[in-house]
Amino acid sequence: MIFFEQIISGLVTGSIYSLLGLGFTMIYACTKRINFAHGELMALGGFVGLVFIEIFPSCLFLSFVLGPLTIGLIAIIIERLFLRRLQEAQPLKIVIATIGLSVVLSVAMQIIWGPYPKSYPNFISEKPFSFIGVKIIPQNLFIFLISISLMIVLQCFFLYTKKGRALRALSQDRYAARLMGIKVGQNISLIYCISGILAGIAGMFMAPIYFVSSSIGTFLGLKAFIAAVIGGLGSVPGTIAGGFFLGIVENLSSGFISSKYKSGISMLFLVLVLLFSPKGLLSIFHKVNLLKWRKSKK
Amino acid sequence: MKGKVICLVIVLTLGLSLIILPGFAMDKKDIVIGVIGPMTLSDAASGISMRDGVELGIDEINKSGKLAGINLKMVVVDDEGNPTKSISGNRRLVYNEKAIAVIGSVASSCTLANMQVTQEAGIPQITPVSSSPAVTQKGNKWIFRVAITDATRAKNIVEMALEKLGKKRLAILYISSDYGIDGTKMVVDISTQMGYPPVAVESFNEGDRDFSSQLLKIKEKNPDALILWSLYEPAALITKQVAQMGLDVQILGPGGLTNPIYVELAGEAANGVIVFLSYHPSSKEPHILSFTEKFKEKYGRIPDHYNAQAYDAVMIIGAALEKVGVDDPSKIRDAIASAKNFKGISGIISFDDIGESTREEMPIQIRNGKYELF
Repeated sequence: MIFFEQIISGLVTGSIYSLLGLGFTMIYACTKRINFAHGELMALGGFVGLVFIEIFPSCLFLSFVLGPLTIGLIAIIIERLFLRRLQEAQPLKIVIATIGLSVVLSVAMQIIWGPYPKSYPNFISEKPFSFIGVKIIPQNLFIFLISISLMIVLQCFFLYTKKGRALRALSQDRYAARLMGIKVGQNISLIYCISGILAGIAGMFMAPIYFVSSSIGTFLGLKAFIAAVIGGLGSVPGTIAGGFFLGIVENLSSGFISSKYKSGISMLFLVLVLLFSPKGLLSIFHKVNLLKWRKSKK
Repeated sequence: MKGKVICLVIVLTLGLSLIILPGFAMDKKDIVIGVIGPMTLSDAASGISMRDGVELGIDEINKSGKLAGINLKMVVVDDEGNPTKSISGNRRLVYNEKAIAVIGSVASSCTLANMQVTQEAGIPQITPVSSSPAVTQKGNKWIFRVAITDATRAKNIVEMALEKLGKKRLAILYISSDYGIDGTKMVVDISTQMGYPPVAVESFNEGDRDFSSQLLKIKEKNPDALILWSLYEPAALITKQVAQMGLDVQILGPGGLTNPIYVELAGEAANGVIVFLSYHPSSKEPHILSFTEKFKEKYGRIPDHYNAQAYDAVMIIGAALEKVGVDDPSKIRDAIASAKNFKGISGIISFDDIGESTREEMPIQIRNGKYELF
């Protein structure tokens, strides 16, 4: 039973890694850039969510809509004012610029909300219930189910809507997409907005489990980035798989080997994946490229 | 013409005031007391507690006028809980700010690193928070401690669990830094000597936020008490996760669990937790009561034991300066070392020959989100 309990708690951690990793993946797929300030957007999501929860204490749902939307808006502003100007710069410069941005955001959060971590109200009960002998915490189940449904919605959006197709076209070839009449700037703003919203949701989901603090973004952001790379940076299903994989590996290795080696073991997997399947874990089973399920016909 | 005259008058007045005003302020000589500790990042709450205690003490010494012609000034350096930054921070205090004494740091690893700077420069340093026994065992005569050591804490906690509460199956969960590793070793030694070696010993890394795998392993061993050797943020997360998991154990611990932020973060789950403290705001002794009142008035919150210990540290320095003046650091050191039965807020303080001020702590239980005498 302890094995299943470890897997379940790995799935919950994994769903947060996946939600956050999707932000990295989408931005990478569409712009070939990595936004290292993404983790800080998540932390900001936690804080902003808390502000809304304090304003509307009786309606948690409203905070869950307004919080992530605010982060989506902030992501658009960051893209418009800051990253778009760097669009043509060398990738390395953008990496450094977004790392700088992450420090700025983290310090700003520290100034606004103070250096202490903040606790969060629970959405639903924390009291565990037993399901065929395995203890499950309702809140964790809720987080897991909502995350899974969000990921399915997102995948459907990319596969079956016109906008989704436009974004996929953009991810394959920006110039060809522009020639086909796809507005590049507008669509890149959209992708930042979606990734910001996901970061906001991840921020509000992780807060009751991990608390929200100005330093948590760097920690979880890095983990989520690694999850995305393991699963396949640029591939939506790959990133989701990578997130769950990392969560489960971390839990099982600390549960059955030693908690001291937890990070070491997950990094070992990262190295192995990069060595033997550089496009990510999923490409072993399925040749996935970027945002597509199906192989492109060229 | 008229305009020019007015301009001239204004310029002259401003110029004169620039010359005269500092003259009034120069009456008193500024003497710097350095404070070094984490003011940002994950252990900031402890560093800020220390700083506020020192600030209150310095205000009081300045107001009392006991140090004629001297105005004590606090300079704070943030070491982020990082030993390397702590060394450079202490250099800044000693050489650039010309601090006459240093108070800090919080993390034992930082104090162990940065006290070499004050030793080299011959400046006394008092740590009101660092609790690793090693701090005073390095043969460094410039370092003093008004905190309670982990050796005392470990003994108190294990005796409380095994003797007073009659628990038999101890589990330990600790942070794998020298703070957690050393403390855990002492707990294991003492409990083994007492005939009940711990049934589970698990660790976690700094920055970890999910402890379910460790707790599941601990749960399997069916313990009746859990000793947490950790900083406040992971301690609060662990306490919450213990409650979520329905793990029925008595939680005890030092350090992080004694920080009010811990109670705030862990919420209801913290109720019942037992800790040990050198200071408790319910004390009715007049000098402690007056400290608690003054602190509440200035900061709008109830002081914690780090505030009390930091306040004691600066008061001991103040008493030494009163005795020997501010000119010779080695005389100041000797005056600090000779402190006997100093009536501090965190107990009666006397330094032994290695700079340790061993004294007893009170058992405290968290009830309804408050630290209450056990």
